[in-house]
This record gives sequence, structure tokens and C-alpha cells, in this order.
Amino acid sequence: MRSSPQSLSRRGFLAGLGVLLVAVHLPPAEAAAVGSPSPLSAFVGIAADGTTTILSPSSEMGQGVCTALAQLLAEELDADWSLVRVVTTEGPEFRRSLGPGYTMQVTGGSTSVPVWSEPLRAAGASARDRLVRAAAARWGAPAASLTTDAGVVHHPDGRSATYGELALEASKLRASRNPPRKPRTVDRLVGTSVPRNDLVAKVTGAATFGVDIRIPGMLRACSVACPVFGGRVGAVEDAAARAIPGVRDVLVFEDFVAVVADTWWPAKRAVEALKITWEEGANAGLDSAGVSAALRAGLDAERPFVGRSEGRSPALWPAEEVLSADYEVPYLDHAPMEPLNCTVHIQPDRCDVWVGTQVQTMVLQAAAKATGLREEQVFVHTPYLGGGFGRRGNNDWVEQALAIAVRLQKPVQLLWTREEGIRHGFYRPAFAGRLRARVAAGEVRGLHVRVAGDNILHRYRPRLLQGLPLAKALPMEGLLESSPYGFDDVRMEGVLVDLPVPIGFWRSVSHSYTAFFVESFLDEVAAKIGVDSVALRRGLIRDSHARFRAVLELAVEKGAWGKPEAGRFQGVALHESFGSICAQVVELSMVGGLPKVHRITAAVDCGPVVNPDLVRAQIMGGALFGLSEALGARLDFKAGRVVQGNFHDYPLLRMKDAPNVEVHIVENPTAPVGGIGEIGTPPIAPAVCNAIFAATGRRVRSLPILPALAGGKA
Amino acid sequence: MKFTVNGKAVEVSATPDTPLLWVLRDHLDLTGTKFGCGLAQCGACTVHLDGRAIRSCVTPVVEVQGRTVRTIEGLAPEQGLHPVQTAWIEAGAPQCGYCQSGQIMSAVALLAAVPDPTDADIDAALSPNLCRCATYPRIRDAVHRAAARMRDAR
Ligand code: FES
Ligand code: FES
Repeated sequence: MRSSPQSLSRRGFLAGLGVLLVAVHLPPAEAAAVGSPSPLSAFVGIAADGTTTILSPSSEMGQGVCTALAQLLAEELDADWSLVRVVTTEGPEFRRSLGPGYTMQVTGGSTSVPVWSEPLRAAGASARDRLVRAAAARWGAPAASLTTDAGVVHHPDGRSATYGELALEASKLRASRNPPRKPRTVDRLVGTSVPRNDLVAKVTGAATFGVDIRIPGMLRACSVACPVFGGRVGAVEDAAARAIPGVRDVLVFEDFVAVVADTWWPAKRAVEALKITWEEGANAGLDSAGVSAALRAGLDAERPFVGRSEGRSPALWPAEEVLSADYEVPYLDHAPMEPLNCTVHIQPDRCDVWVGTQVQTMVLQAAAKATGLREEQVFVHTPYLGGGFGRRGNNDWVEQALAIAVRLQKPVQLLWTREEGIRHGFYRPAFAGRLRARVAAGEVRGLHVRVAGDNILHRYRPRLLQGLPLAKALPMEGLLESSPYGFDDVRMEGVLVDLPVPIGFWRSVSHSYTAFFVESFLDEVAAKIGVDSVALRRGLIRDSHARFRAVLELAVEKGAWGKPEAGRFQGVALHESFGSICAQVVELSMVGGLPKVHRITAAVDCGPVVNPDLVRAQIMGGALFGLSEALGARLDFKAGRVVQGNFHDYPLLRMKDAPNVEVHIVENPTAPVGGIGEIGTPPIAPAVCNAIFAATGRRVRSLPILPALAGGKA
Repeated sequence: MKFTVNGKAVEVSATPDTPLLWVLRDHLDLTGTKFGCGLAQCGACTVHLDGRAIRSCVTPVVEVQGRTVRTIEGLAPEQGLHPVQTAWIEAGAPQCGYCQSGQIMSAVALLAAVPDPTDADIDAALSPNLCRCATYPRIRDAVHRAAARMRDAR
């Protein structure tokens, strides 16, 4: 048996299960249309046996969102949790159901719970209200006299009916305009660590990922694109490839070549057997030294974008009061464990696409464009994602799969090799930072940060976004208003360095380096003026950012700041991202000149908590994800090509180097809902580097750490 | 090519150099075993060959002729779950879940050889298995829980 968040088709859902459908924004008549091919605009359906199917607008990529979102809806619905099932909705119906203002279905930016909390709670309340009114009608009792409890409506005289029994009648009722809400004080599910709903599937091999999709008659494809970004296919010699048993065809496109075979292995071998002459184009000279030089030149640029400026200009700081240091981080790949793949089945009147995507709407639009079908004829199915981290917010490999399927006119599954994935990513951009502090009378009076690098938004929607302050500020996330620290003089600047390397949103985006720059540099300053790292931060936190204090103090207390075990050294960092605040205390020792991290203690304030265990899991995973790249991973370029290709030269964190991560949550139920998927990543690199400084007196100013320490580049 | 998978005799017509991984996934439709790197670098493809954990992406099918393969699908009894799977659920280990079949197969092989492993034993046995979601601490916890469960069951 297979299990998948998309194992039910839309029509299957409507016809088989959807007795009660609750639309958030649709007129009730349309929303309640059961079994009709009207747009799927609903978030929940209840079958006669009580099975409660909740539709998640977000993709499940490991963050537990299909559990958390279901908890929110089930809470207001007062559902029987044991009967709840979750499927990820399809793009088109979902998008239309939300009306013209909602144009993109995206899972990213740690937005799922912040964005969907209210609509899903509203959907649950509306469904519960209709079930109660159905019972009221059945019993001739006032609705207000009835109560609900875990999927059952109760009459004061002892009669009761399950939601399943009432669902059909309830579906015929109009939705109330303002259905009553449960008082928050009686939350049964929200705020508790209900186990994720995908655990059994994911320990038995039954969970269906994109790569596990099987369509009758489906062929397999493997592709290779020009190793130089922007290059094109010149000549292709394919005799050897075609001679491999199982190979059906070699398809040549403008910028990539695909081999199609009965199974994937011969397709992959055939790709290796191709002799392709590439037209490498303008970027064949790209190399790492050139990238570094361009970033450093950016640090000296004349007219930066100024994102925040208070007090005196740093140009007027007395030279003897200034401390300064330059930092740098490399390009990084997302490297989700599941290599990129996409399955396409085109028929005369419809196109089905199965893909682990974070952007269903982009898939839908690309499929309509590639096939010439209308968007209503495209069906995007979202299986479990074998990791996303931002990579699946792009559509490049989906477009390849669509092009192959259009050419073949047969169902086909495209699967990239790991090498293709690493060499054709949308990378976390490399960045340089110049940090300057004004220190007078033993106090930090000013901070001046300049970051130089490429801007992701320039790649996505150039015409629309270029020049907008919002777009210009993206590379400076974490340096602006969210920064907890106050100084007499502040100046935060960004310089755009246009580089021919594809870039994209990588877990925590710009926070991944702004936290490293600022939190490392503050430690340098603390050491210079002889102040404890935590004490320095305590003194700098603005009164307007008091939440940061509680988070810092909790991490400091639980991480036993100042009292490391013998032979161990500590580092601390504090950073806000996506509406949530995280502090981390790291304890490490140096073994043979290299850091061995023993313990990470994290504190987090993400506002109201839907599921504490999921929060702990995400902070743990986020921190270790950050540790992974902080220690060893980097992408280099040579002759226009990415040098690395697989996990032997793009090393990720392994079990033996992964310490336990203790996560403590600051209760803050009245704050706005913050994100959680990316929050654990930014503080870890500076916390580790600060601990290395404590241990060795060496300041690591360029990542990753291991080569920096080995090569003395720090 | 004939061999045994999860207790069943199978015969496949793949070329001898085809890695076992692709025979399992594409010929036998056993998709619980995953592809992650193809170079014995990530462990996503871990299965048991005559009881030992191997990386099926670098094991030509010709090498398994006449031998016994067990995959994640063959772990649980007819009804219910293997104690390692139960421990995994208790520990809440999986996130995206993609690496977990391989992690579990490595853990089962470890526990067969070392019924009461230390952290160091676990680190050594499971370090070939990458987890990009970095669920490592919970996997370590899960292996200890599994060891305890299996001890209690003896
Ligand atoms: S796929 Fe076999 S070890 Fe990675
Ligand atoms: S759970 Fe995602 S790779 Fe391990």
C-alpha cells in the first residue's frame, strides 16, 4: 500500500469522501456541490464513516506542515483526530477558490502556519457550525443548546450524533456568516505535540515521493544540460548511447539533451555515453577567484543602497574608534535528499503532472504553456517532497520534463542525477560583508554593515521588481528593523554584484549570512573591549525588541553559559528571522585543530505554538542543516563549471558530527504567529565560530569552517 | 537473474551490471528503497544482502544472484511493525522521510550485530546514511529505543 498526501484525486475526494465541504471564500451553494466537477475550493470533507479529510494548501517537505495545518482546522472543527486524513490540494482549484487576490500557491518563507492559521481555523469553525445546525434541525433543538466533543454533537438530554452521521445534512446548509469560534482556552489539539500524521508511511517505505510515481506505460528519462550556465547544445553524437539496451530515444533540446529508456539505469548510462559539444557561451570564464574579486570590489563600491541609517554617518567616525573586518560566504546548494524528478502524462484533453514542488501554480502555468491546454485541464499532484529547502520553489526541471513529454507524447518520468542537481542549482548566493564598529569608552556606539552580492529577486521577476526598495532590501534581511541591537550610529548598506550564477531561496535566505556576519563581528568587538559575549548583547538589545532578551536569557540559562565542561568552549548567537527569534549556545572542543561540536542549546520564540514537538524538530533540523554548510560545504567554479558534483566533494553533516540539539520554547501565545522551518539555521554558524574563537583565538571570517581552519584563510 | 527478495523468489531480465537499486525500483516496483547519490555516499539505497547492510546503488544485480535481499518493505511482519519501525515512530524521527528507509535498514543490521549499541556504535554504523533534514539526534534516540524494545522482547 502506498500513502501520499496526494493519494486521493480531486474527483475521488469530492465523489467518495466529500460529503461536507467547507469553502472559505466561496458561496456555500458552490462549496457544497458534492460530486460535481466544480473547483475544489474547500479545506475539509467528512465522510459518512466520520473520516475527516483536510486539504493542506502547503506541500509536506518534512516540516510537518500537513500535521500542523490539520491541527488548526481540526481544533475549530472539534474533530476526532484519529479520523483525520490530510492531502495536499491541487493548484488550480485551490487558487481559484481563494479568488482573484490569491495568485500563487507557494510553500516557502516559513509562511505556512502564519498565513494559513486563520483561514483554516475559520474553515473548521464554519464546518462545526453547520454540523451543529444539522443536529439542531434533526432534533428540533436550538443550536446554542448543543455542544461538540471530538467529532460528536451532544444534546443536553443525552442524545448524540457523530459528525459522519450529520455530514450529508450539514452539507446542504448554508454557511453562517460569522460562525461561533471555540474559546482559545479550550484548545485540545493546538499547542499539543500530536504525532505527525506521516510517521507510519515514512518508516515502512510506503510514503510516495515524486520519484515513486508509477504510471502505466511510463518511460524514464535522464537529462544533462550544458555544464556552463547559459550554454547551449552544439553537436550531439549519440550512436553509443542509442546502442544501450532499453534506450528508446535521444532528444536534443536547445540547452539540454535527454535520453528516454524503459527504465532509468540505461537512460543514465546512455547520457554518460553521449558525446556532446557544447556552445559554452559567455560564462565559460567563470571561476571562484573571479567571483571573490567581484564581491570584494562590491565592498568598495561608490553608491550602495542604504537600508537603515540612524545617527552620524560612519564616514565621520574618528579613525581611532573604528574596528573593521571583512567576511565572506560561498555559494551553496540545497541538495534535498530526493533528486529532482517530475512525471508528466499528457492526454488530448488533460495534462497530469506529479512533482514534489513548492510552487504548484508555477507548475500549472508551465504545463499549460508547454502543452497548449487550458489551465483548467492541468492537474498538479503533490506527493511527499524528499526535502525542499527552497530548491523546489524553482521550476527548471519541471519545464524539462514537460518539454520531453510534449516531444514523446507518452507518459514519462524525468529523474536527474545527483551531479546534475548540484551543478544546476539555484544556489544560496555568495556574499561578502564589511563590518565596522565604532567603539568609544569601552562601549559600542555604532555599527556599519555593507553586504555585497547578487539579488535573487532580480532573477525571478526582473521587470516587476528591480528597483523596488523591497527587492533591494532582500539581501539585507536580518540587518534592518528586525535586528535587536541599537546604537547611536547605524548604517546598513547593500551593493548589487551581478554574477552569472543561478541563485535562489535557500533555507533562511539572506539571514544565513547576515546572522553570520553580525553575530560573529559583535563577538570580535566584545573580545576587543574585554566584555563577555552575552553581556555585550544584553547591553545592546533595544527596549523595542524586549522579546529577544527572554530568548537570549533562556538559551544562556539552559546552555549553562559560562560553565562549559572541562576542555570545552562556548559560543552564542541571537537572530530573528521570519517573525521568530532564536538564540543558540554551542559547546565544542578542538580535536586535532578542528571543531567537534558536543552540544547545541537553542531557545526560540515563535509566538503561538501549534505543535511543540514539530517546533523542536524544525529548530533541531534547522540548526544542524546550518552546521552542515558552516563546517564543510561550498561550491567552486572553474572554467565556467561547478566543480563539485556529489556528496564526496559536497560534504553534508553526518551522524558522527551531529550533536544533540536541546530546544527550549519561550511561551508567547499573544505574539503574532512566527515561522519555524528556517529559524534554526541562521544562528548556528556564528555560534560555532564564536566558540572556535573562544577555544583558539582564531576568528573564522569565511565559511566553510573546516577549509578555512585548515588553510589558514580565517 | 534469480534471487530472493523479502522471502519471495524473483527473476528479472536486467543487464548484469544494473545496480540492484534499479532492479528493485524499476523492475520489481519496490520503491521504498531510495536513490540519493548513486555513489555509495548517502545510504538512501541501503538494503540487506544475506543480512548485511549494503548500498544497492553500487551493487550490480549479478552479484546478488542466488542470494537473499531484504528491503524496507520486507521488514515488518504481516501485521504490525518491526520494533525498529515502532521505535522510529516513538522518537518522531522522520521529517521529509526520504532517507529513513535506508537509516532503518542500517539500524536493523547494526542491532542484529550489536544488540546494545553505544552512541559511538550508532555513529559508526549510521554515518554512511545522510539525512539532509538532519534528524540525526532523533535517529540516535530511536536506535536506543529499538534496542530496549528488542531486549524486552527477548
Ligand atoms: S544512492 Fe546508494 S548510497 Fe546514495
Ligand atoms: S528525513 Fe529528510 S533526508 Fe532524512
